[in-house]
Amino acid sequence: MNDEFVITGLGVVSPVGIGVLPFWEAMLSRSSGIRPSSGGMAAAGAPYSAGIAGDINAHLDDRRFRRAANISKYALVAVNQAIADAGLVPAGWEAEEVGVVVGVTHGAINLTREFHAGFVKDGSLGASPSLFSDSVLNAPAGNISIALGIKGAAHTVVGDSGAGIDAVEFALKVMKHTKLSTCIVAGAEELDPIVARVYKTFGLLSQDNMRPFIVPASGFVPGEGAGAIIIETRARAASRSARVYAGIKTALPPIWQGRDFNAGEIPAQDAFVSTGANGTRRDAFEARLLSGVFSPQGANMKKAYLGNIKPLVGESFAASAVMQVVAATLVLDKGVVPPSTIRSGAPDVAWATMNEDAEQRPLTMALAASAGLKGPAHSILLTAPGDAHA
Amino acid sequence: MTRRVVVTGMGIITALGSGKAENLSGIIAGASAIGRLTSFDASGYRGATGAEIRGFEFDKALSPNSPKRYDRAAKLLLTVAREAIREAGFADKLPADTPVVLGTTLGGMLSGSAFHKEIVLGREGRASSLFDYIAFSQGVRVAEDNGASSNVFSISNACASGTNAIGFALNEIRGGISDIALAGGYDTMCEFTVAGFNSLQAITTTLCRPFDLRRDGLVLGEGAAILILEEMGAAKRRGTTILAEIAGYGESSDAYHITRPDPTAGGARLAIKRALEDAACAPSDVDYINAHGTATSFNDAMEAKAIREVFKDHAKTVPVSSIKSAVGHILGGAGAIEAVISIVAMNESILPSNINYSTPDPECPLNIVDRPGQKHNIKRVLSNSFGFGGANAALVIQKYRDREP
Repeated sequence: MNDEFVITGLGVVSPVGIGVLPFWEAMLSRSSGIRPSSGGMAAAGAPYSAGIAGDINAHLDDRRFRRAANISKYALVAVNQAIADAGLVPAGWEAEEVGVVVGVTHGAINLTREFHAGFVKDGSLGASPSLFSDSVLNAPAGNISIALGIKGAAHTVVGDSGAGIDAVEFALKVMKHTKLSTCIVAGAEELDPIVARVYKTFGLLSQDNMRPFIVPASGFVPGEGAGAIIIETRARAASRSARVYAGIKTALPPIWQGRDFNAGEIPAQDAFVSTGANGTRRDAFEARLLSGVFSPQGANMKKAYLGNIKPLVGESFAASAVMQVVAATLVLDKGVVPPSTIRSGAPDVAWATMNEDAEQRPLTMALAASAGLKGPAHSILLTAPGDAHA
Repeated sequence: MTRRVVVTGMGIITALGSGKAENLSGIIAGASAIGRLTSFDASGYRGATGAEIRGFEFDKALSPNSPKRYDRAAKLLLTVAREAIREAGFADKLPADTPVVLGTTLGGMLSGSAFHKEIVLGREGRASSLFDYIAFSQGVRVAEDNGASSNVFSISNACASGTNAIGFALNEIRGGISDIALAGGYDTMCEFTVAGFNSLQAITTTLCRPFDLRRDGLVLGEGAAILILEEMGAAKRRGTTILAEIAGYGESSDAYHITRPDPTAGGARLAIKRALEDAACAPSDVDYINAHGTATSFNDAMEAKAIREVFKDHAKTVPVSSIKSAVGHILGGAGAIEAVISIVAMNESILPSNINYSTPDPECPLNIVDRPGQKHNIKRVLSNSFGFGGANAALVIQKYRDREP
């Protein structure tokens, strides 16, 4: 198997806490960061939401970014965690060999509206240059590159709820064709009551909790935060004796609704599947795709543990998609499959294993997949480090 | 051996016109498409000019869905996608699984801006605007409506986005992921960006004059361009006309400032060097440079420095121009539009002119193409794009020859 790229660092800013450890502990205990909404979110028709608790500035040492949009701050904090976890020191790296790819969905939507408010109410004099520069979609990637001195490449990939997985796939492709030895991938999103109201209008917002794959679909709970991973070439990781969490590669070609995976491209073995299902009708599509790979009728009749982090952290689009990858990485690394948040009785995934309790289960393969709200499904395949351990 | 990637179809729309022919004739004539902004009241802004596409009417037949409420960005894209797909000889549909790689700064910001304004004014915004606003939905529209609904990547690296999209698609084909890809870029004129660039005092109050001593800022434009890229052998087997070869691509980031370019030009230099290395050519092999050339003081000085440092003595003679004084700065669409113009100019042996240039700037000692219609044998072009956030990208495009040049 071609797993020439490896994951060497993880970072999470999520409604269950700032850091990878609280994220993992929440997975083990099924502790949710979803809370009854107050203020703007409640007024928007989102009775439940999953916000970042506390002041994110307390986790942001670099004062240059204290006035940046929340989406940038979340991304910066998650990336800093991942870099520290990987044992990387930006001052000492070859900056031209390092890149960053950030997945976003709605971007810095709060600042964008604030910028609009300025010129709508006060004309040209009300337009703030700092709001404008931080409202562009690539501001988080730009800020990360500035903060860390990244000179190889800085990309922003825009997508729907699978955008974080798109960003990982994008990064792997960029690394394959350039001289980048290290790529930081983040996905980030910030809560916005107006966006929540729109999803409520379209009947996509849950009025209580999230129930992935349960029929009838009841909708999602909006969340926010960021996930980050460090991808390095295996050679680069080995050269600095880095701890390797997992091998990583693109899994299946992106698939559009109405078509099927070529399941034969996934090796037949027991696996953990970090699903992107979010309680909307789109879940049926994802279930069908996964069924084509893992069900008794699928190509790889092996045990598939289905996990889903969204009942814990909410749907934060690009952010939760990268958190899916972090979750899958942790399952391989810890040799433990946390209890599934997918309730039994989900008819479309009845073939899968949804364990009620955490299981000690060293696995060698994990898949992070997301069908997204619109567009194609993307997936990332992770493999246990094996001989990748330096 | 590296798979060679060629261009077999192109579509373009700018304020100069719709299609390659109208754009080429405008470029040859040295025409400017810049005028007073009319799509919204810009009278309060210090710079109130721009390059708007006037009289654009979307052909509803281009979409089997319900295009009535599509964002203007999607309509422009669908228009140029069809032009490109037809030129490539695919009738109306692309092969399934064709990657769609698009660059944009704004996505559907006209829809987004309308939505935000309604909210700011205390009214209900049209909910569906949000879906047209997300800078991913336009690529989805193009993929769905042209049978390529599989692999959509939307890149938003500010003004480098269009070039990044072509570079990414190039590598998808080189890497054997696909034999064909649709790549391009787009952006529309909207008050959000005019207000933003005004607030940065980056918009000219006089004329857009890239590299000129008297330059005082950029002019925004709108438009879209699509290129159909194919693996050379696949294109030859189809017997389609090959328009050019994408020979090299390079990218980098400044790590300097969110809006200002690095004055040392380190990032731009790296992207250019990487593109030349990727194309396996020397600086002296480049016959024309299509510059990013925004006409801001900082950008042009930085870009001239990068060109001088990479091209050395050749920088004194190689023709350089920016077409932004003619079509405006089309942000995420600029790189793709400039790639199409570069290819058309190369195949017609005409140098696109840098209109409004009259006073050389000692900080930009380049051979600026100051007169329209100059004939020049162009075998290889370097096209530069630099953007907010320090995103840098460069392409090397060359005349197609069956054998390696």
